[in-house]
Amino acid sequence: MTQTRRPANAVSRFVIEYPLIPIGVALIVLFSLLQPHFFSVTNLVNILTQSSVLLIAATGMTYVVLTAGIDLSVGAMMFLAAALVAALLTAGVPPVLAVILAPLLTIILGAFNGTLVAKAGVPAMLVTLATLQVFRGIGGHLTEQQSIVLPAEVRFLGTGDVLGIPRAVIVAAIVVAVGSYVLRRTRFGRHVQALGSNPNGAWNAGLPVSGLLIAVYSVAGLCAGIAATVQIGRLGAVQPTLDLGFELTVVTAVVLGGTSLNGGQGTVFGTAIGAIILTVVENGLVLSGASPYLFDIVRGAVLLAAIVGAGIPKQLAAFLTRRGGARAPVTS
Amino acid sequence: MTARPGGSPDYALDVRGVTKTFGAVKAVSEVSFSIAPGEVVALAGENGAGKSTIKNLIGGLIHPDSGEILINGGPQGTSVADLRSQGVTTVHQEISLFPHLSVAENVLLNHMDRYPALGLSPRRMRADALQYLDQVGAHFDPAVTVADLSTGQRQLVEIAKALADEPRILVLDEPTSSLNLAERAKVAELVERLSADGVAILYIGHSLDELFQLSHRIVVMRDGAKVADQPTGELTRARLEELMVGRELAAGYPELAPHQERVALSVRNLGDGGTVSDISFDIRAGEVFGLAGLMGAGRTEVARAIFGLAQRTGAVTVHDDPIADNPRAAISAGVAFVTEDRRDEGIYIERPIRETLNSVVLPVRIRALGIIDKKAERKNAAARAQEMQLTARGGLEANGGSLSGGNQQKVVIGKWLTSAPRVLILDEPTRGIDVGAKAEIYRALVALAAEGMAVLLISSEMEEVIGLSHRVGVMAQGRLAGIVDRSEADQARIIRLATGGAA
Amino acid sequence: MKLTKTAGVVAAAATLLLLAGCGTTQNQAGTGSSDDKLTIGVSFDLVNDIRSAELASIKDAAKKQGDTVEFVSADQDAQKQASQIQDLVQTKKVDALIVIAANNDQIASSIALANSAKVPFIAIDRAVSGGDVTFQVTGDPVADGKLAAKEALAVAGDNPTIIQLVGALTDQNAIGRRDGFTDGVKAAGKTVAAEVPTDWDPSKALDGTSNALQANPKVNTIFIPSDYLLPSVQSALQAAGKLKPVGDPGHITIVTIDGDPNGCKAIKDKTIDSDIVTPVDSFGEQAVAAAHTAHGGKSVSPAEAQVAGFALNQANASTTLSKTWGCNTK
Repeated sequence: MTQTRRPANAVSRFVIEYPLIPIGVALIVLFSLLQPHFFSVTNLVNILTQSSVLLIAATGMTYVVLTAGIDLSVGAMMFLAAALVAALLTAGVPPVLAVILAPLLTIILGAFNGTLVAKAGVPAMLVTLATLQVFRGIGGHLTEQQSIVLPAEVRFLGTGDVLGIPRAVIVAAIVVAVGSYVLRRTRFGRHVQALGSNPNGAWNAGLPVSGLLIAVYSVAGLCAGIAATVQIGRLGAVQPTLDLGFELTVVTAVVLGGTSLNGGQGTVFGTAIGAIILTVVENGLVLSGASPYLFDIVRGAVLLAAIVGAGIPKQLAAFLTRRGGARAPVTS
Repeated sequence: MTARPGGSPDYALDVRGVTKTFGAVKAVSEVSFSIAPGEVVALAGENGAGKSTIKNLIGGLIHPDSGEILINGGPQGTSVADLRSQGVTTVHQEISLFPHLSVAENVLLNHMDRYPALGLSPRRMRADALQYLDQVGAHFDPAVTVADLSTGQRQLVEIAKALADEPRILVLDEPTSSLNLAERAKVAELVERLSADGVAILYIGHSLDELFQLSHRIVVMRDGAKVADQPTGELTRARLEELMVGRELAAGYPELAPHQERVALSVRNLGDGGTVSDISFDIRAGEVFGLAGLMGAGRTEVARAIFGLAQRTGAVTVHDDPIADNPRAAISAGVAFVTEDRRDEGIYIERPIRETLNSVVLPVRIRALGIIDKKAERKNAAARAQEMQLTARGGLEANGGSLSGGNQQKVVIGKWLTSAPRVLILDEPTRGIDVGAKAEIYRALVALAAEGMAVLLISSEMEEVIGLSHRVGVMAQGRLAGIVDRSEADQARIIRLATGGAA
Repeated sequence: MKLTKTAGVVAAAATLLLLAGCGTTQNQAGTGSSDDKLTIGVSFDLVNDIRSAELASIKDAAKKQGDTVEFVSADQDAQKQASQIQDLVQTKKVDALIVIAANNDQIASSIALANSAKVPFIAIDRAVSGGDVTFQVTGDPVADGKLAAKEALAVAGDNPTIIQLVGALTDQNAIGRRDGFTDGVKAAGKTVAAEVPTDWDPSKALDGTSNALQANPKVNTIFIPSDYLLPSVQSALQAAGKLKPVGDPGHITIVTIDGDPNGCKAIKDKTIDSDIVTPVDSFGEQAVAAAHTAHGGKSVSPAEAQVAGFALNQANASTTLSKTWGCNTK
């Protein structure tokens, strides 16, 4: 009979839950050696800024993946949100209002995704592949396939800083913090994780499964909308290929962060680390001056190493706990 | 247990003439019985008798085609949540826990409205969960993730979870199948206490001893109908078995043939680098060697170490040939290992039975290309099914999941027989299996031993171990406390050794 | 009497339909005359302003000839493009094809299909190879790159620190422009300080440029191979506090290619120094003309035309703005 294998040591517990952290540290060391500039305050702040959009979108996606679902329409939702802002501005809507309306729209888009997944019994991957096309199409229609430069007044979430911290980073930090808290400390969050952990059990326990599903996709939509407003803040323009394929990057960040595609397992914090590591890699590659032809290869190799490396600490931990005979501590 | 005066006029649970049909099969037919507050009624029957259907009807997962179920004299609620507020809670056999959540979260999942929706306090939840965990004697940290618990510990959490509902009607389905002696005793205590509190309890189980020990009345089902409803005191074990199976069962265990002299399996100073160490014993060809002990004593670990699934220290030889520390080597040497978790590790639930039966040794027509010889595959499957007297209603092409627990177990044992092993290790082979199927498995084991198979039998059912083994090894805290010959083996002696006393 | 007339008309119409139906599968190239009104199948994506302008120029040229344009967009997916071209040729039975290949290697099967159906295959904007291409008119990415280098060095002076953005490496134009620029710089005895790969993605351009600015704080020249990425670069500069207009001592020289509406505006606003304009109108005119020539049975000669861009910069803005397609769109 298997006994509990939980290491008593808090440090090793932390490392096992977030195996990416040592990997991230290793990457940072590596890139710093290749290019001393890498380890400067400016660059590190840059990395945080550059990862902000991904951080926000990936937080929402974490909820979806926790239910063993997936939302491939994220990039298209972000594009549509950006296109909507542009359209609203042209129609004379005040910039601040336009920026607020974008996430409201994407919540509805997300709810739409969620309703199809919950009620139509179609796998999430297929549903969101289809809505991806629809959203992109609508966005393309709104922008008439033109690149549209946006005025400075809508860019406030992506430009400027508060007390030296870029606004984009602040928004990302808030989203990550709230996302993590809601998941861990609210009834809703616990129900979401329960649903992914044991779907049958959830039904039998009378959990509001449909409602939960619609909610998580709406959360993903909301985060996509917020991410979009930060993104247009940074970019200052909406181009027809905006966020094309971005959904894959988002899912990569989520999976890299330890959230299982089978549902039930994962944390927002882990996703955040995954997102930052992806950005560290991009940043490091450019700074190291490597030939662009090598970028794809190197990026893939680093990801592979990170994934394998993330597995090693788990095995190491299993090995260590076997020795120590650690069990669930008996209280009496 | 002394019989309580027959229930008060107002029954807590009143099942009246319920019938439920699934497709062409009448699972339950015109069944009626009732339970008064404080009464413990056992529901006995073979697999397929309709116990699960009754349980699900009471639990609100399905609804009767005709007849009705009354709760406290009033109509039964329609959903599980409604029933919960009526005071009805079911502890199902399949674990319905959420592995990635903590013990506390699992126990309190249906009662999170006791806490602020936007700010669950882990500390408060842990403290509250501990209350219920204590009642079942589960002394582990509620902050632990359920995935890290053993099967027995999980079962305790399931029961604690039911207690959190503070039910007035409790349905328990095989609540102790993964528990050791001490834990079972705790659950028995709990049942008594709840009953004294006026909780009506429906207890479904396969351990007839338990049913006799805990219940006031026993309701027996067979083939969907109720065949008996009597106070426990009026039944004997033999009579109960008869009622369940519908025919007279041969008493006890099949007779063991004497074993041979040569040693089939030899284990010296075996350890697995953690739980067990310094284990040494021999099993001769044709001998059944039982391995008894409390849960956690390390019996499964010994089996895993022999089979090469752990970091083994010490030596293992099969018919004088040492074997390397990996399953492949063990299998080639003729060792077979039937694990305790047949659903997860032993049988393909969603694939045809034929595939499971052939999964240890695949007949391949052309080795190099790895093409399967379909004819040989079918032939082998049929032979194994015959050998184990397997009754698969849907034929060998039906999914593994369509079989009853007993038949599934036969499939798992059968698949190993393909490789014509010389040593068969069985870990809890009759857990969760009804009386009829158990008898068949006993017969098969004894027959295999008579043909020269060396058998290592791990079981938590003391009676079973003693009844089937030539010798019994007793494990205690990772060590082999002693080996007792059949002639001297009795429950008291084994328990003494298992709990650290001297033989 | 009316009945007979009606019957006659119906009969005539029916006969015409029958003839049209069971006649040859389509107008064979060379069997018509160059004065016919053609149905032209046009296949490319609409991902940026230049594409819209190219489509507009084809439509204008076609209108003048009385032709119909059947436009399909494959969203940069080479497989989809192949299927769509197949539809155009076999189902819609177009008289000619004007195509921008999503992928140079994969377009070969479509060219072969057009060849066997005897439909003239005309490529614009991106050079293609592999098969009998009736006519292709492209920009001259290498020449444009070289011109860009010349423009950059003219402004940047003797000690330029150059950041060069690079487009998607699967795009011939991106490669050509990069090579042209690098050669031009090398020929002047200078070097490029940093290359930023962008995959034509605005986000990557933004992040990559910020990273490059950080690693090379003394940068004074940036080459952007397409106006499509201009907003990203400007955002990056702004975030770094380095976005200054022409004439300001802190101004970083910016040279782009394309001449799209953003580029046009940027010249007007004096935020960039030079934009190499692609003569998009010429593409449409030449392509449609070639379609008619081929349809009329003559071969098109020369079969390849490269139209180099011209420089639009602060110095010649007054006269050149009007020639720039980006300044002329609505």
